[in-house]
Amino acid sequence: MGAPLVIQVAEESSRELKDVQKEAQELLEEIGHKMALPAVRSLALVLRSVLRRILKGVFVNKPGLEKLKEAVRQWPVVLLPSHRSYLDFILVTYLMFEHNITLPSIAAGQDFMNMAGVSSLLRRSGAFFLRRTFGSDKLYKAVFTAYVQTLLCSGDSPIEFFIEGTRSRTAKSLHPKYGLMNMIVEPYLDGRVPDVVMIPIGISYERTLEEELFARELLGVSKPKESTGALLRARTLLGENYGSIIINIGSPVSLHDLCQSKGISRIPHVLYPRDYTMMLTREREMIFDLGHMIVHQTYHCMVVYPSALLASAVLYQSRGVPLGELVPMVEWLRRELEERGVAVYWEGGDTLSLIHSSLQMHSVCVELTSSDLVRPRTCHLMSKLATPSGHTPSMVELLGMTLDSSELHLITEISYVHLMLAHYRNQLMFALIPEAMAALSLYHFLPCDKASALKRFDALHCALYKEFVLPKRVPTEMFQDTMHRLLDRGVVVSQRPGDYTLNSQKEHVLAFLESLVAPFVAGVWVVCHHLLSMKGGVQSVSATVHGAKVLAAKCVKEGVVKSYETLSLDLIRNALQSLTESGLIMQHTSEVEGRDRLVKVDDLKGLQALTRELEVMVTSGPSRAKL
Amino acid sequence: PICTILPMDGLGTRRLEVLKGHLHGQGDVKPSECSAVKSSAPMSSTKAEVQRAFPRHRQEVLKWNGWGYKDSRFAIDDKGLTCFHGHRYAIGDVQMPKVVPWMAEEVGLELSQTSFSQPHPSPKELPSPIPCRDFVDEIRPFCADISDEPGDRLFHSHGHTCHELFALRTGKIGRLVDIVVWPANHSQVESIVQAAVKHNVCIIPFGGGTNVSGAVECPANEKRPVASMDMTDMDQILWIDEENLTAHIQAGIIGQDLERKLQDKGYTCGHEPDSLEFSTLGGWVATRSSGMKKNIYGNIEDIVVRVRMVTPQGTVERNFLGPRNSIGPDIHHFMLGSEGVLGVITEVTVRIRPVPQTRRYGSLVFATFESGVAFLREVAKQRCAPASIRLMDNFQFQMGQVIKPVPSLWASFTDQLKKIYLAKFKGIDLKEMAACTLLFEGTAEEVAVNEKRIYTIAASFGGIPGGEENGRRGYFLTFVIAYIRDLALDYSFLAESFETSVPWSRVVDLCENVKTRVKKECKDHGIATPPLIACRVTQTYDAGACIYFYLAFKYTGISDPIGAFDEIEAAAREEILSNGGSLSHHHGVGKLRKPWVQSAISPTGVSMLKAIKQQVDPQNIFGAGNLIPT
Repeated sequence: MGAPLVIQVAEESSRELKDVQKEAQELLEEIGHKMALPAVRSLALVLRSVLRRILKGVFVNKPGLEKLKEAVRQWPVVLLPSHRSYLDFILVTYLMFEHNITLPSIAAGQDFMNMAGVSSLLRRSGAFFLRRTFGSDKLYKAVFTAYVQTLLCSGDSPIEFFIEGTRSRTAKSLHPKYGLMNMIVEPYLDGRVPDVVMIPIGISYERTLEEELFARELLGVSKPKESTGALLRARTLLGENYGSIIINIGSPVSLHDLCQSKGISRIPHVLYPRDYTMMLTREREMIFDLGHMIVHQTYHCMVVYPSALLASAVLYQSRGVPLGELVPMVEWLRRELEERGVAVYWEGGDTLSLIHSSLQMHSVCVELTSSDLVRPRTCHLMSKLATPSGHTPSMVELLGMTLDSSELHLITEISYVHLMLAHYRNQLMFALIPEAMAALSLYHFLPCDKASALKRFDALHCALYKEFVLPKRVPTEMFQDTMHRLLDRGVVVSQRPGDYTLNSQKEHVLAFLESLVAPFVAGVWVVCHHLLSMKGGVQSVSATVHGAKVLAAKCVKEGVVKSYETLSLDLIRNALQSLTESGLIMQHTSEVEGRDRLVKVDDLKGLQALTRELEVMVTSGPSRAKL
Repeated sequence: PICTILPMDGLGTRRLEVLKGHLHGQGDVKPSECSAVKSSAPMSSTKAEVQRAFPRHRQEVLKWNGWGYKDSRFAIDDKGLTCFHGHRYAIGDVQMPKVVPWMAEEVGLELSQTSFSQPHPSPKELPSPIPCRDFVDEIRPFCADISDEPGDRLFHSHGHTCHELFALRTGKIGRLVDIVVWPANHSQVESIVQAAVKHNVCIIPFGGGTNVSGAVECPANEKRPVASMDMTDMDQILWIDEENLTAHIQAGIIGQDLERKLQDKGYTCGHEPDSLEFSTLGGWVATRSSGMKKNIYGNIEDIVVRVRMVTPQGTVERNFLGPRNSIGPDIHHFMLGSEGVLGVITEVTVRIRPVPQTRRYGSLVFATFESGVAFLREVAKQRCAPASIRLMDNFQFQMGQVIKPVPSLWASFTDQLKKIYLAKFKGIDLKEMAACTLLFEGTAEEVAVNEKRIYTIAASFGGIPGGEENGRRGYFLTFVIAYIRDLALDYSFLAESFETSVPWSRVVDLCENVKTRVKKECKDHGIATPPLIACRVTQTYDAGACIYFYLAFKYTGISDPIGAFDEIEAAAREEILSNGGSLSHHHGVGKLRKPWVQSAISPTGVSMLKAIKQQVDPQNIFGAGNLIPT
């Protein structure tokens, strides 16, 4: 077990070798799983009865399952499911158990280890644990790497991990994490395994079990520490209806084929000893692309439920949609998605009854009023907010304003429901993001020329880079591809090359696309303003996030910003990451241990320019076209 | 006398032979009497009466479209029994009932799917030779023999790669050499090469023709006349120096003749490539060959003391016999592995050793291939490897068990007992185990000491002695296994062997990954039945090992079998390189492995080779087109 490294660690830290060995042994105990079939069997039994009570069914694509079965028999396999719920941890194992496939070893976050009973149950169903950060603990990293690679190379069981690292609270795809990916690729490059077959799996929930929890977290109502007690309280879930779950197993991706197609040779590695780990720049780039590709494919495995269509429509017209209008809206959305190759789950029966059952299932966040108006459940609270005085305050005024706690509470409550709805609407994001970005850079400016649209698109790319999993490269190519698609669909027309005009027949498409991305852009814009208000000073990340959130609440209250989603901490943090990535701001690691990182504006002019660019897109605009 | 001077003149010796033959009442050397190879290894102790294994026109004795002797071959009879015909080898004319069912099970052999060879093409089916009258006129006065007979031309235009044999068997004959010349000594070679330079004739040196790299294939686009220079008339041991234990030998001598002649004098060269019966000393040098017993005698580069090579610019040689030198890069390394593209090797001084007193076989059984490799690695570490030590994977082990006659009741009973012993008492899975074969040579004491040490090491890796007989069979099978390919080719299989050398740390993974890759490639190429892909570790070194692979698959239903085969073999090679294996351990580059040379030795390395080629042979007289990428 990584013996040379153990010796190295002992030498570097001038500790006794046997102490280090003992520590390594303990770490191994901490990490390792203790797969035991009886445990899995009883878990499966419990799970089956629980799922029966709260679900209509769990569906899986048979051809995908067959391919998975075959791959597991022949190759070292890595299963890469999407991650939206804790249920993901056991669903794949459960599925494989039911179909007699070798059960996977699952990488689980260490936070589970604090849950008495649960952690041992997870261990016995094949979970092994990893720390959220490895920090500078060389020994831990070595032991963990050795553990994962031994699992992979011995080929006894497939490995399962969540490439997004954590559950996606917003149901949007998250940027891939590369730690485990590197550990998986290394043995292939070093010839320890002939290939690694990666299988993306999309797990779609008609209703996410943690929907309320997620919304609360997004608003910073702190996440309760994982404890068995909390899980037991979750028993109230049992009375609820969570619809169905669809597990869609994607096509296996062969690492070997991928490397061949990218011209990545293993030969450079043969000139080094076996335990000498090294990775070349182009291999890192390959892994980067691979991560993006897997996230992309995982999301393309996902199935969109009618609830996502309903939520999209409701958020589009958040003051309420008459039931009669909702039916054609939902149907139109379904067609639009299907045209783009998205699988929409559509049970038999007419749209209206589907909407009714969806409304029933999602009564936490959406209501049908007595006047047949479908609207966010907290819609009535909006009227309680002091009505904007007709005069839209400027940013300077807003920054100077105070918000009393009851108002903040009210706004938070509204946005709580909005974020829950957004969780469902976001499920169609992956298919529409480039078009939505292009739409926003065009809609309020048509007719316009390509150069100005591209400039705005650039700004969006910069602002949303972390919010969505966007390609890292210069977005020109992405813009052009997307424009081709929009022109093909006739969403915009081009009389002369490089000039776009509105197609009034399709204005609603543009309006809808734009509406998908607008809340996020507004959020970034608010963050930008908050950063500018720091006037060159330094602020801790948490203070920045809080400040931006309060500013967002004020903007929403005064009608400067329409979307209640701008209060999302996730959105604010992503904005900070995006701005850091593009070099507009800097995040220093604090010298004081345990202290937050510090945020500082690095490129004031750049930030001002971006803010202006976003401002035109956020604040302009006529009222929304009917879908 | 300390130094035995043998007659220089090959012609004189042949006359003596003929005379001797007359005295024994035999008019000429008949094919059936040509070989003494009957014992387990071709290095027979029975004194040979003949001086040469083959007549000048080898196709009289050897197959034109397959491996080895015409009269020796595997065949399956109407009852589905496999039989090895001919009496040259110990398994001659014995029925082997287990072969067919086993092959059917493992690789999908079906007796109805035959693919027998086309008959020998008639002269008019062969392309007519490009005339080179001036050249012939110039060399005829001194050259021992010259032929443009179709049979000679055909025999000299191919080696033993799978695609060459497949082409012959399916009647797809490509470019043939235009003429075959037989020089008798070094000066004749010099004159022929000069004549070739003068008349711009391409020369392809030809030794045993056993290469598996496409080395003697004519480049298809060669417009000049191509002369195959058959070296086998140059088969004399010119002198033996008993004080220094060296011998100076003409390069065309066939391996078995060399050993027989040396052993008559109490010596051995000890170089035993698997092709020993048919390949030549010059061929060994030109391909950097490796011998089974290299642990005692060394590989060919360790054995040679002096080499003479005729190039278009004249003869290159070292003018001293000292055991080592420091005169810049060793000039021998331009000749070793030159694959006939820089010149032709005419004479070689080799080290010789007294024939060992004792030779003993041995075998070991290991629970897994991995534990066998670990054992070999330990043996290499302790530098106590016997003359030969090999590790067969499970598939090869089973194949060895199958190529056996019907066992007697008693033998099958004891076999059964052995199996039960291994499975029940030693916990060895017969589907997982690997077998190691051993060959010890030396004085009785040396062998005893070596054996003890080896078996002690083996025990610590869970190795169980498997008896002398299994060891003997293992080595003996080496010489008949090449015949099995011809049988496979008769039943719609394509088959090939290839080799590599690799650091110890990568041996197991390389074997595993190559097997996996080949299986995947076969599947991707639409090959319905699983391929045979087996390996063995055949040599151990301080820093690594040599691995030998066998690949075969049934091509029924594949539209372009040889195209598929080439792609699968290339994928296997690519996998070998990706796993730290060398491009070749001893087969050489030829034409087959040329695409990988540049990445193996760097572009600068290639330009160095090219510069030498350009300087020594600007006209590309030695135009076989091997080794050096264009």
